[in-house]
Amino acid sequence: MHAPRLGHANLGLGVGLRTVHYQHILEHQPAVDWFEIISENYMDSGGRPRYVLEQIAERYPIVMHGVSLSIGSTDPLDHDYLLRLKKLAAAVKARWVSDHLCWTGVAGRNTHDLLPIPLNEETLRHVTERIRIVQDVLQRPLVLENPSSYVTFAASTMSEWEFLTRMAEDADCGLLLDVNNVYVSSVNHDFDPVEYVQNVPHRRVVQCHLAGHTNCRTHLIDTHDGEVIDPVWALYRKAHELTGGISTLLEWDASIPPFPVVHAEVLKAKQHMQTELAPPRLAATRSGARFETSAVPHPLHFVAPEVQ
Amino acid sequence: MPHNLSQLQRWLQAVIMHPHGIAAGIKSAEAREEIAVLPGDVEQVIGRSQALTSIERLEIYGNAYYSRLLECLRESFPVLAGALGNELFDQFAMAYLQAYPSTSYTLSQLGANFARHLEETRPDRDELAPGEVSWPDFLIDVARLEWAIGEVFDGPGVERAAHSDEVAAPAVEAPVVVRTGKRPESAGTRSTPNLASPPPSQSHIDDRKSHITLDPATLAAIPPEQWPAARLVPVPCLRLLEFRFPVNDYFTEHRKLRDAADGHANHAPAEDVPVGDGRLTLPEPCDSYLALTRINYVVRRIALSQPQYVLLSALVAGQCVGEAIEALVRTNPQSVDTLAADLKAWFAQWAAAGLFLRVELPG
Ligand SMILES: [Fe+2]
Repeated sequence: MHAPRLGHANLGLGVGLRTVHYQHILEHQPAVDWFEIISENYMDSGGRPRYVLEQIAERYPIVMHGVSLSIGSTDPLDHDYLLRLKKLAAAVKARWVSDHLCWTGVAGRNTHDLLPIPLNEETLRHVTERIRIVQDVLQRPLVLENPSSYVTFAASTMSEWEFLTRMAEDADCGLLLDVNNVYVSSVNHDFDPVEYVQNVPHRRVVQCHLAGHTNCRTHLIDTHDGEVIDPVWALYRKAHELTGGISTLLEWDASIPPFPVVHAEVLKAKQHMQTELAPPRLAATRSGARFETSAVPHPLHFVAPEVQ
Repeated sequence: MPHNLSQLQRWLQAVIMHPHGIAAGIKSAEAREEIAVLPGDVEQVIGRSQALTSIERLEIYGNAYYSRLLECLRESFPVLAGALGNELFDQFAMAYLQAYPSTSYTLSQLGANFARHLEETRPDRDELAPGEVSWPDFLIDVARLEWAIGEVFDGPGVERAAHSDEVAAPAVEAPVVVRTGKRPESAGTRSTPNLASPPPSQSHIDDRKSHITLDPATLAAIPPEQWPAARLVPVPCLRLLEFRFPVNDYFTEHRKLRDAADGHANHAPAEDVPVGDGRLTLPEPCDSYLALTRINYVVRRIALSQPQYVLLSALVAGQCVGEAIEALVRTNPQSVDTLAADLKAWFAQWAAAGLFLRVELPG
């Protein structure tokens, strides 16, 4: 039996670092517990993004979150990418390095999307083997997140929580439990999100993600563009209780409000750590207020240049 | 027969990347090579949900793929998108994504071949006389300018060298910054020892350029007899560009309109002010020259005359000042008359703009 959170500290309540907030953070040094960065936006940067990151890393704990590892792809792993990842992790003293249980492309292409995998024995062997290779290169445990998904495969033979549990045990890796993604996928695939959160291996959950999503009536899309809704907070309370407390991070990637608004949203988690557990009110959001039809799921991470 | 992981991935990718939608993707040769299923039978591969059919669920990924990448290209080429209008820009961008799908782990490389693609697909490709200029050149030039600005913004610069000189301590690791797979460039270049270091500063916006790049006074103090053999080492962020249209001026005009729209939006957020669309017209062709550099992490544009461009290009190519001047006189014999006065002013101006890292003198 290993330590809770795979031995990592509970960093508290953090916020995903986004370029629109650079100025505010440098000027005001807000009392946020930690920052999560999108690794790919900094690993090759010789300009302002990297410079700002180094200043922020002097004052705040940094966690690296990637979108292009493509751990589930049948293409070979990109060793050049892994080495850059490792180098950045050393430079910013990353507390841990995470990515998603997904694939982003095959045959040399990158769709820049987090594509779902069929959940079966073949994929499990494939992913587990690759996690081991990545961990050997990075010389640290990899932390993998459950992505939001919009399709399921006829070839799947197990639930996602079952896959995550066996994968984490076999590869000896950590998990990033995105409770918003659990909720989004549960609506899209008609499963019980509480059962999911109850069954993931809690001592391997290093971190948790919170985010807003978009309700398209027939399905939900993970847009990271708003407040966290109540049923997701309910899943968070459950996760908090079962894990004994984990580093918690809010992702806000589209229609990004000023930093204090984003920070205030993650600070709401404090109330949920104290309130008693209540069952998630699933019905509440199926008929929730925000409906869209042309939402784009994340990730979309592009840094616009500054020029005079 | 169950499909293996590789087949499923290649099939799904072919289906969601198909420009004409999911059904067309399923029927495409590329998809059928992996899994020969008809749109009506796709539940054999992709399950349905209570609310959506398999095709409808696949459409979420198909729509997301193009919206995401088109949005990224619009952000990479905002002036070109403004010039064309989003609808027309998206048509070019869709064709580009077919011709050059992303193969990089970073979205920052997505537009790397856009200018090349516009050149390869220009409608007048086979009709153009050598040296003839037409409107596609304008689009290509704008795309080249915007791409170069992006590269200079996030590529190697000299700010870090200034920074690490301040803190004589072991410093934040001197990173080797590699971008676009081209030459690796050490960003931790040191200034010449005779230049004073600035006092440490907490501010991230103060101007440090004069402390790390070649000081105009150092340049002015070089004895005349040493000039011809002197070599000027450019800063790693210097880029020289040659255009067939005045795209730098166009860029400036676009900026003004955008800023006006932003200012306007602040007062009346409800009103939609078009940027570019129909507000700026195609300029007349006119050869133009530009230097890009970066100071304190912000890209600077410095318009050049043709003789300035020739001279700077020769210097950047590694020629000494004497050779560079010869190259200039060869191509611009008429420049001889005013050359002496011009050169003094140009070098002072370029040094003040921080284009050189240092000067290497003979001996
Ligand atoms: Fe997430």
